[in-house]
Amino acid sequence: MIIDCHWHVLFDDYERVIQTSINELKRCGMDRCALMFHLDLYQKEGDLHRQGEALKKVLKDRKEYFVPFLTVDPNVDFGIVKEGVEEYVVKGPAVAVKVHHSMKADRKEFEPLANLLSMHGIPVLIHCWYKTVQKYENESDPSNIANLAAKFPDLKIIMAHITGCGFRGIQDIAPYPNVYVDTSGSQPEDGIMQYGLDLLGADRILFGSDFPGRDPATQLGRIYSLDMSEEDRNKILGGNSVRLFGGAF
Amino acid sequence: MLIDMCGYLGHWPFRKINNNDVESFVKVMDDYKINLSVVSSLNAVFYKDTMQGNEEIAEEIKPYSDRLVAFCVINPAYPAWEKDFRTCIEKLGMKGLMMYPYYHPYRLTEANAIRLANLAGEAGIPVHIPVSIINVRQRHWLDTTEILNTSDFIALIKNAPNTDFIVSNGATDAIAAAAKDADSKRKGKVYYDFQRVEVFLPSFERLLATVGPEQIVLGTGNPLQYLDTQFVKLHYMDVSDEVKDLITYKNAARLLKLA
Repeated sequence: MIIDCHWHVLFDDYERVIQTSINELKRCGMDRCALMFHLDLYQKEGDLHRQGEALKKVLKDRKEYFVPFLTVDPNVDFGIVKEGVEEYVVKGPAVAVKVHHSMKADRKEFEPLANLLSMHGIPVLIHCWYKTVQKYENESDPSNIANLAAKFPDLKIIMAHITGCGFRGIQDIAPYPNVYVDTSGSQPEDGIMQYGLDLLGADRILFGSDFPGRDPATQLGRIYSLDMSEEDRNKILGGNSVRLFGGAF
Repeated sequence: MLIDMCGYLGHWPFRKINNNDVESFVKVMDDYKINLSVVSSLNAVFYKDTMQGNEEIAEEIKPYSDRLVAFCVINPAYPAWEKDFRTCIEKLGMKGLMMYPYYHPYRLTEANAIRLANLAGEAGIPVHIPVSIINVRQRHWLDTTEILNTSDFIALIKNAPNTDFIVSNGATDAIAAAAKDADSKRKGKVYYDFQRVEVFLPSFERLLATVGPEQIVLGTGNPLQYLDTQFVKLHYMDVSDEVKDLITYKNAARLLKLA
């Protein structure tokens, strides 16, 4: 089973992109992809509700293709965030939360969301990168993720973009078993994925492409380049996603 | 048959690289059934005198003359560059030229750069200009933040009308679209690799529609990048075997003037 845990769908054009996504899934022999709406970075009050209703609409007759996420901006009033998470993740249909680069993950203001997700056992995928140029103002780097993981050991965190995080980023989160990484990010630079596999083990790596930033073929190629057992490869390609996002299956 | 138009030997100064010596490099080629690979010296990019790197690589690949073809790295802002270029082609047997305007202190619009590209055309060898070597976002602090300037590149191909060019490791679909009009009026041609072009997104289709299958080549970036990525993309390309053959070796063979 191949599951892509990092797949964006442009919210304003989601009906068309959903169909494209299903076509691409079939074309490359994948079973499912994340359904992660891409909205404005800093969300407006009604965005969680709009997303939640759109998820319900899409999943009504296409549930078998997706692992639904709710994209959350922790800057929004926590009362609204809590209501949205409870309405559309705890009750469903979403099974996980995506946080983009609107707030660093170890900020005090992030804690209410982390606590809520931890309490309900909801995994969160967080954009992350160690950059020396072109860094976004509120973008998390792996040290922020490590700090969050230390504060919330029961929160399941997927640190996005392994190649962007690099060797040092993998080292940062290695001591925290509640942190996973996805295979997306940048060009398929040699050595980094293998280092992640060696240090973290196959149980903590999830196939994710960051579509439409990069396509699944590029990221699948990284996985096929690694020296590992069939069992480990299957965990990375989909087994770990089934384990983490069980509610979607 | 597979010909890889984009390989490197030598040290990358900003992080440890595996399989960057000639024996390991050829072993990787064997693993991926790559028959022939074009290589150039990473050391040459960063040595003050690129010629030292060119001489190193010419010596290193001698035992593998049936598997490796060397391109020289020339900095046209450095003294005696023209003599170095001629030495590389006439004495060291190099089959192409690498230009790095974002690592060396010149622009492609300057007289010496134009003259160098024209000399390559006169020698019947291609000029390869990578869009970048790595993604600049996670670069080392001392590394460049620049990549290939498309406008300068288009100016260069106009100024070197008989020279063949190769552009690799970037948004080659977009560069091909921007350069299409200029390239159509030239005797030389611009070839593009699909190292950073995606096959599920429309970028490969756009590249193919813009330049046709005769001007696309395989480039892996070995050993800087995982090779399977390019082969997975090849697997999923929705093109005929004839087109795949052009992309994977026939165009490269023509460009390198292989029998």
